[in-house]
Amino acid sequence: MNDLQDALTGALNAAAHEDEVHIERLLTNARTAGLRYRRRRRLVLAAGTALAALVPVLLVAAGLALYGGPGRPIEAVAGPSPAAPATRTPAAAPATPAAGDPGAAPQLPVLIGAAPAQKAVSTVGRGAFHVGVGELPFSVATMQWSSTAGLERVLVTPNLTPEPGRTDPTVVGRDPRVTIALARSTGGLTTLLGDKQPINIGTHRGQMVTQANTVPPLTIVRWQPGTGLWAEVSGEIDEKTAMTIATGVSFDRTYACVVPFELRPPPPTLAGKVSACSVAYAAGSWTGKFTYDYGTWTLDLARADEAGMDFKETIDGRPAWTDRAEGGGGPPTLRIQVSYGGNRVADVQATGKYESMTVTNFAIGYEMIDSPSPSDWWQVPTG
Amino acid sequence: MEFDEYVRLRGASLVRLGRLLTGDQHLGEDLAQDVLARAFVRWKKIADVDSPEAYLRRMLVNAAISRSRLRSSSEIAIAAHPDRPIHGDLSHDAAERQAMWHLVRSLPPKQRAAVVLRFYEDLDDTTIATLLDCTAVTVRTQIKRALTTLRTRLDSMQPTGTGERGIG
Repeated sequence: MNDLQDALTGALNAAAHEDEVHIERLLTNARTAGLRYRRRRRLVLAAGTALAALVPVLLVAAGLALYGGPGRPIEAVAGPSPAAPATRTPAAAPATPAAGDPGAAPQLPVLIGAAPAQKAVSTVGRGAFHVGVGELPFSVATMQWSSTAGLERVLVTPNLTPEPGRTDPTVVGRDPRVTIALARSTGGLTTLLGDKQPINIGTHRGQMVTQANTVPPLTIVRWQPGTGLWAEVSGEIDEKTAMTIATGVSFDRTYACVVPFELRPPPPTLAGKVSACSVAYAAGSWTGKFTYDYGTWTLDLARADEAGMDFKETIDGRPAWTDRAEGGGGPPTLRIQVSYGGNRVADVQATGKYESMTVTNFAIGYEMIDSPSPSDWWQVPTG
Repeated sequence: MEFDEYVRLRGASLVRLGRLLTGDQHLGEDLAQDVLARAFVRWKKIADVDSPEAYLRRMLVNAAISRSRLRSSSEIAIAAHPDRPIHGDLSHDAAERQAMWHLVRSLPPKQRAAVVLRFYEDLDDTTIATLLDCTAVTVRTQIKRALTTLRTRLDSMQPTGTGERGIG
């Protein structure tokens, strides 16, 4: 072994042993999650069996309806095509506070409706955003909204070096980040361990758990803002901070997923849907990315800058870089980055059973939007 | 061996491996817990295989690589959260270890997994290849690339003209 390898071994050992492992907590959590996983599998199996029994009946019914059987004519249901570019709706973008401004958190840039999340549970965690963040007891360094798989999360990083006179967050652990979540099930939320204190968030009853003696020392506030919805504030923060943040959260608006580029419509045979979106704010500027799900493969679409990129090939006359990964224990991936000049790069990654040509067509089909204001960006059509 | 007995005996090592594979203390614990939860459901079968340890390690490695891909689709890489101010100086060795760990975390998931399995778990190429579902040649290539990247980045971090010796 040389010096580098010795240093590497030392660093890995130090990182692995940095914190104690709580075996009994691990065992309890693993058993609980295992039982839940088993129940879910049994339910899915039972549902599958029931569906299999119903299919012949449904086929007969459909046959009757189509070939002269009595009944209403079938009406086509027009829904938004995820592939087609959405109309840009003029929307006033809330003012973005300067980084470090205490109290006023950055707000999502494009408000598209006042539909309360409680009345549209099925749209939660499907690309658009429903979490409104009120006043925060600290200034904000970065904020990131993500919406996928029935779960919406807002990850807030406090500004840890506020200017004199501004508030420093009360962090009881080592990680200062706070997560605000809205979910259609508790599956993606934090496991509640320890004594639960009853609390009220507005008119909704909830629970607070403080795991002060565990690593990390988490505080979790959870409540149900509506039937079929769970909300949560969690972080290595004190109870007062957690309650202040939870009290300021609202779920009565819908915000668009926006990205600083638009797509040329993909081939009509591709019927994908937007399954994930993230919008992030850092140091006064915004960015966004999203994912199409095509059933057997997914496509992540983002915009990057050229910093650190080494374009070694050309695609459609533009400098480009591609990377394929197959094997290694996961599905195959293809990543393509294409430079559009002016420090603007299309960054796409396909995962699963993709066709290379289709992925390439997406990478060369970007229309960059140069406005720095996210209210001018493309509103990704989400379900 | 019963599930509880196994977790009490080997759970900590799985969590530590999870931390290194994900590059994050909390994610690593979540991942190990998730893998153990899935193992719990079919523990009788797993306990009967030759090496439950190798089986669970493979589950963990696969889960870590899959999760890194999943995270890339739902999270945007913005500046890492700032560290809390450190009161007092870290020793030189600790600071070097910390710098090295930060560089390891920046490696692509498969390179990081190969490096962790070689230099932390001390596994040979063939065993790593089985865990990563690739050939031993690919393992050697991944490790070589990772070491080259680490050396280049470490060299660029060394102050110039001070006469300090870089790690080589």
